[in-house]
Amino acid sequence: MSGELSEITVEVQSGLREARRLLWAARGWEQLGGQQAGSPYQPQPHNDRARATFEAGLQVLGDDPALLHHLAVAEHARAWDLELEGSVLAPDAWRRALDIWHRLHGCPAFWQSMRERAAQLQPPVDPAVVDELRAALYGELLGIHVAFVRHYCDQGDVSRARPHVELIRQTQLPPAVHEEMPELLYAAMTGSLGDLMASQEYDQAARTIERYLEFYPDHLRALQTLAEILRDWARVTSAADDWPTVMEIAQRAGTWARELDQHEALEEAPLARLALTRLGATLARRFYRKLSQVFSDAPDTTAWIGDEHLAWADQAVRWAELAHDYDASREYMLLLSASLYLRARCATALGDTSLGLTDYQRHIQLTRRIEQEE
Amino acid sequence: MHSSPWRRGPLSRNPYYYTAFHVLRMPPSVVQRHAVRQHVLQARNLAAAMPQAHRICGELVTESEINEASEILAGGPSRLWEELVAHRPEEYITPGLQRLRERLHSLAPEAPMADDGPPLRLPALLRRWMEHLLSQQVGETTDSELVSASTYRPIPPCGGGT
Repeated sequence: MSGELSEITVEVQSGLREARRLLWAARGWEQLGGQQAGSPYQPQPHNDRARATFEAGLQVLGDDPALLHHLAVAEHARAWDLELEGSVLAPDAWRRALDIWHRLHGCPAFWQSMRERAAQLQPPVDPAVVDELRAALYGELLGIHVAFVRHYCDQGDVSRARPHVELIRQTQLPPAVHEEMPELLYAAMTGSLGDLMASQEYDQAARTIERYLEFYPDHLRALQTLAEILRDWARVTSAADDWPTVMEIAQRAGTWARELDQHEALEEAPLARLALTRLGATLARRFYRKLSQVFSDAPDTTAWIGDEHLAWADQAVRWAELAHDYDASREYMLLLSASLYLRARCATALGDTSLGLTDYQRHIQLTRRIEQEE
Repeated sequence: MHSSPWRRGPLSRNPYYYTAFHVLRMPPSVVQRHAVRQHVLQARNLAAAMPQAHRICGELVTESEINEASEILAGGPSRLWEELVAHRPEEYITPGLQRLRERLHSLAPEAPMADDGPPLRLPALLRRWMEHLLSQQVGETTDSELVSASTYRPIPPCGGGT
């Protein structure tokens, strides 16, 4: 008997707990109504209780259109609040909200109700507008995240932008919408590029593209644009007056030129190949000229040459090879030949006779080819 | 002005608090043209006579915001977009919503169940005692607002419970 009573007590306590939870949810739902007697319409877009109620309802009743819509509004409003608070819960909240919008988008009964609503309005709205709205829904939802990405990137806070991009990639959305995302983001994040280039703010312009490439490292147009920016930057930077900047450009170009060089679509992208070729040639010239200047100022290499100079020669050869790989014209053959000659001199002076000899032989071969073609 | 309310204002404003319905203090159920105009007029008068009385999230509602809201709700796609981001009017009742409401607003005839457990077979006396306890829990809430614990298991506050 005592065992039975104990069992009943546990069940009653459990039932009470459950009932309390439901009451808690039901009160929240009322708060969404927003209109108490005699007071203005000031509803809350969300609260935990109401979300719980809708969630519970959906679990039991399936995708009911009204419940889905209430939940979509509540979840999305909550996600926005969490984002503005800088909460770590924001990415998950956005993900949940987008999932609910996705379910609503695929719920014909909801859109039928919107058509009926359109007919009730004064003046009535053409029901076809509802179809346009439905078609535009994903773009508008994604637009929010694109805007947040742009906002955070403009502030230089890339870490807060990243969850928005990852969110879109992971959220259950139609493939066509996923494919739109890189282009939408590119347009949003590079909107200031024209102004930056016009005012010759190359560093900022390059950073804008580099931020984008952090998210989409294989975006061909971005890689091409970055190659063009870095090339323009290198062209206006004097090796004699601002050598550290040339080194910085080369270092930044090195990372992305490799991506572009190995890009699977490069074969069908002549403008991207041209950008890569020109970048390689411009940087090769910068390093070649710097070294040439040093050699002409002090012909006795034993007095000054060091590993740093060999590194510059390496850069000259590497960039000249890149340009030559894509365009074996006389101009780039000459550039490569001259760069090899300088590296041969540096390597020999530093005691690396093997590299010196190899480079010298390649220099001779290229020179002969140039002479033959003439 | 962008059609979608999500992209109309600054990102630092949660648009769900600033719908045209909020700005005009007008429920989405209002569709008649003259009724909309009435709300616009009231909102304008309030903003002019007692600006401090009309705030959203602590910010004063401005005349230009009222004008923009009245344009949005004047009809066309912008009104439909606005309805998309507002909780639907109470008249929009689907069978599912109706069932949920009925469940939430009626006291369960049967006793509550434990989590995933079999239905309880409580003596009548115990059940009455439990209902009494529940009504005390409710406080200002009436009995009709008690809900069936046998069907729904919403997420509890603060992540506790089931």
